[in-house]
Amino acid sequence: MTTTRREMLAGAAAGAAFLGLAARAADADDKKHPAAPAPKTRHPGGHLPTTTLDGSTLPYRVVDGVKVFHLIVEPVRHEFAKGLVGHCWGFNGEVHGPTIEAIEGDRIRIYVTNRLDAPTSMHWHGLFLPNGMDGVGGLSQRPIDPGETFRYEYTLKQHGTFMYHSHHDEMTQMAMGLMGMFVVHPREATGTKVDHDFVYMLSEWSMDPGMWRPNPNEMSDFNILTLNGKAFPGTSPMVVGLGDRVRIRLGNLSAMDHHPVHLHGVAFKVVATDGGNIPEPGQWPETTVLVPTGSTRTIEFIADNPGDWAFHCHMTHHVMNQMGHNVPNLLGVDPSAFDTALMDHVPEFMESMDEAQAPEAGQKPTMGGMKHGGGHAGHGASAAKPGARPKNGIPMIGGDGPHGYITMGGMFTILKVREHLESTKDPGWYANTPETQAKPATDDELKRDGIG
Amino acid sequence: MLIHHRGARLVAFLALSLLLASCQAARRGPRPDDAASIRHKLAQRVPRLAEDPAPAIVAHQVNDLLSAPLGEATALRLALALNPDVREGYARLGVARHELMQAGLLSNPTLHANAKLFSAGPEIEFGLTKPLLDLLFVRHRTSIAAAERQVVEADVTANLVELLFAIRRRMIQIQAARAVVALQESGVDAADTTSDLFAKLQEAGNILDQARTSGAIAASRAQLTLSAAKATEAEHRESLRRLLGLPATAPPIVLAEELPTGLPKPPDAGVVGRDAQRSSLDHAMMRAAALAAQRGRTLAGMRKQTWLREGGAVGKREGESGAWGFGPEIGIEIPIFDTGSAEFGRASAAYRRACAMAEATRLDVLSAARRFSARAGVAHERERHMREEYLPLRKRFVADLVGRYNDMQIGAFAVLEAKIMELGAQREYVETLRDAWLAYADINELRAGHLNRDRLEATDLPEESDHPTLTGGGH
Repeated sequence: MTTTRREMLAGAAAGAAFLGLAARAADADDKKHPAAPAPKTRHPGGHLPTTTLDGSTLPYRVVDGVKVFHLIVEPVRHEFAKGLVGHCWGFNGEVHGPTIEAIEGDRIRIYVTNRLDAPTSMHWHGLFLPNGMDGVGGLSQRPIDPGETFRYEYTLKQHGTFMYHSHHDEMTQMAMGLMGMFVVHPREATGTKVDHDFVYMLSEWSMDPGMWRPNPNEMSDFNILTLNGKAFPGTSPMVVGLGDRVRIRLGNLSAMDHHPVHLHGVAFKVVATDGGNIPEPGQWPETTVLVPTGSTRTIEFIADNPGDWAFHCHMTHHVMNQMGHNVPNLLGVDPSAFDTALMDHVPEFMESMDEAQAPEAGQKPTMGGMKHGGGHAGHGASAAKPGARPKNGIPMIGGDGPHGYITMGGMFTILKVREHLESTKDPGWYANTPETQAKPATDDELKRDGIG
Repeated sequence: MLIHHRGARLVAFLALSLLLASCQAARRGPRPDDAASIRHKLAQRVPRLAEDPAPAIVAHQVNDLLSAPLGEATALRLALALNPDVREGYARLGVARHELMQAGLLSNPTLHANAKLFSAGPEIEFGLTKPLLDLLFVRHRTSIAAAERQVVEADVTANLVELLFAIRRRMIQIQAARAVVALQESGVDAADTTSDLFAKLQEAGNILDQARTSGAIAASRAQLTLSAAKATEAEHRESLRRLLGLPATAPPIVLAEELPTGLPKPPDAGVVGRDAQRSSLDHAMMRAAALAAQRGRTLAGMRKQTWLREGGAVGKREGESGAWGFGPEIGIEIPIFDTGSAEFGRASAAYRRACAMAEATRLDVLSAARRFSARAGVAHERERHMREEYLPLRKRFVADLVGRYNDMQIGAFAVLEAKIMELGAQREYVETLRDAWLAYADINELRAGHLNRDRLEATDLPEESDHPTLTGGGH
């Protein structure tokens, strides 16, 4: 295949016009994802380009009327959150892969180049396509060997929220990160127009503190739960204006878990699955949607309640980072007795305290400590004990909040609804009015209401 | 001055010199000539010792010596003064010396007299006779006794060397046992703490009863192990008291030094073999025994060929004339029943046996040199490996787990368990270091002239114990 410079420019311009994004070079070193994407231009058909927070959208060019995409499967050094890096597998230098975005009826051609040391294949999850393009290694195609590039080409016959992922040695390759979202807009706008169209891939990983490579062999004890490959506090907030109509597309390719995703402050409706749109009579309001693994769910709502609202998986262990599941339950006992025991019998424990006084350059000092309150299984500290810890790890919970330490982690982010939104840049913390802010009760209040 | 007798003082001086020389050899590395030369001097001096240096050391002086931490030099002084086995050796020297004197003495002549009362007058006869073999064989008999005395001298000297190294071994074993007890006490403390923490959790309703019981079992087991370690230390202490010959009223022994860690490289097996062969008291003893047997065979051969047994003079007074007549008298053995062949054959066989035993001893010494050297080489390498690699890895493993504990990935129990296992590794190291010093003592004892057959046959080669490494999981 040859592509002229004119065609390349034309394709890039078309892509940029549609996506509102400059074509992004597939450079593994270019992993800067602006927390505040540029304002998007609505497609003439009425559709708004999606926003993949902490990720990107895959650029394309048009060649002879065919939208041409290029996915490069390769090892990627990925940061889940500050202080936690994984040697993962991804696409075009990203984990997860960039969102593929097109329009129903488009003829698309996707080149998949394998730069791994292992064979792979690519499956277009939920799309109606010729059997030979389905990407199941050994069933619908032979694997893509290292160094090879395969061409997938088909016409998009449907619209909706879909996914793509490796379908060769799935357990290993998906656990290493080989997955991405695939959004197909309807040719003609249907339903309501939204002001924001967010895309989230839900996934889970197993990597203990001190490790640098996810463990694909893990079956149940996943300890890094991510939204678009990021774990809180590494997740960027969704920023919307008061009264905006918001769509959130959720795809789940976690190895073994479903995720009940809960949104605070508003009620939403599930308007679509990866099987298609849900007729309006079949929609009902709720605040939590279960996203089974291997499925997508699209929710819509009007952001009519200003504030900073939590958006998270409601499985409590899924909002923990690298949690140690092998600690005893210390609730009801004085946890200091355990530290004292180590002080008495393990000199290395005290040495670790001395070591922790001098963190390495560029390494964030250990978070945690009693000041944050909370507690994990009665340890009394919120995130971690003081003292030297394994390199490459993040606290189990935590990020700074307006009222102290946010005792969440993993699959957690924040929907920020503001009355006056000038950009999608993070506006900072929401300031509640005094009368709407929970606070310690006064003696007079207690007395007035007969509270002992 | 505690030890007054001149001979005993000399023994003390020589033995202390040997002790200090071998100590220096151990600290500074191989000194091939030290042990051998001093042993040679000791062997030369011992025959001139008095045979019964009764110890002039009294109870309060023993108490004074034991009131301070005991070093090897003081231990040897006490042993030379108090150990009855040492006095038994002196006595054996006395026996040998007097047997040599006896061998050089001629037997006394015998005066015979008889009178016959005839009617013509009494007939009186006097005779003075002496066994002639005494006279003929005195030189050979003396040389046999001298060789036999050499046997005793070598044996007594070897016993002193053996005593010296037995004392050293016991002190090494006590030092090691004491270190093991200290480690095990730490292990008991850690196990007790672990058990207490399990109890707290169980009382809070957080763990099953069996988990608490499990912790208590581990603590109980640690206590049993501590008891065994204390019993081992007590055994070695009592053994040392016996070697020193301490009376029951003597105070407990307190040792001066910890088990030293500066283990030098062991000497080359060839050097050990040459030293051992040159200075072997066991071989010298066997060669002296062979020499005595050879001379015994010569004597038996001469006896076989010599029928003349007695000689002397006789005087007789005739009864009638009353005249005296004098003349020689001899006694000749008539070998019709005992030709002397059996005795000669026995002596010849004894000689051949002694020669064979000397050769066997020579081979034993050389074999022991190779065997002890190989053991010391293995012990030296094991000690180095444990000190430089294994123990640091055990410590690092604990530090790694501490990091995971700080990160709240694991509980304190995993860290404490790893620490207890590290204490076990330290105990294993102490035992390895002990075995290395014992192996070095074996070498130095051999180079000093004594082949310790008990140690030669000891089969306590190192065995790999199972110390599993935690994966860091679990409580």
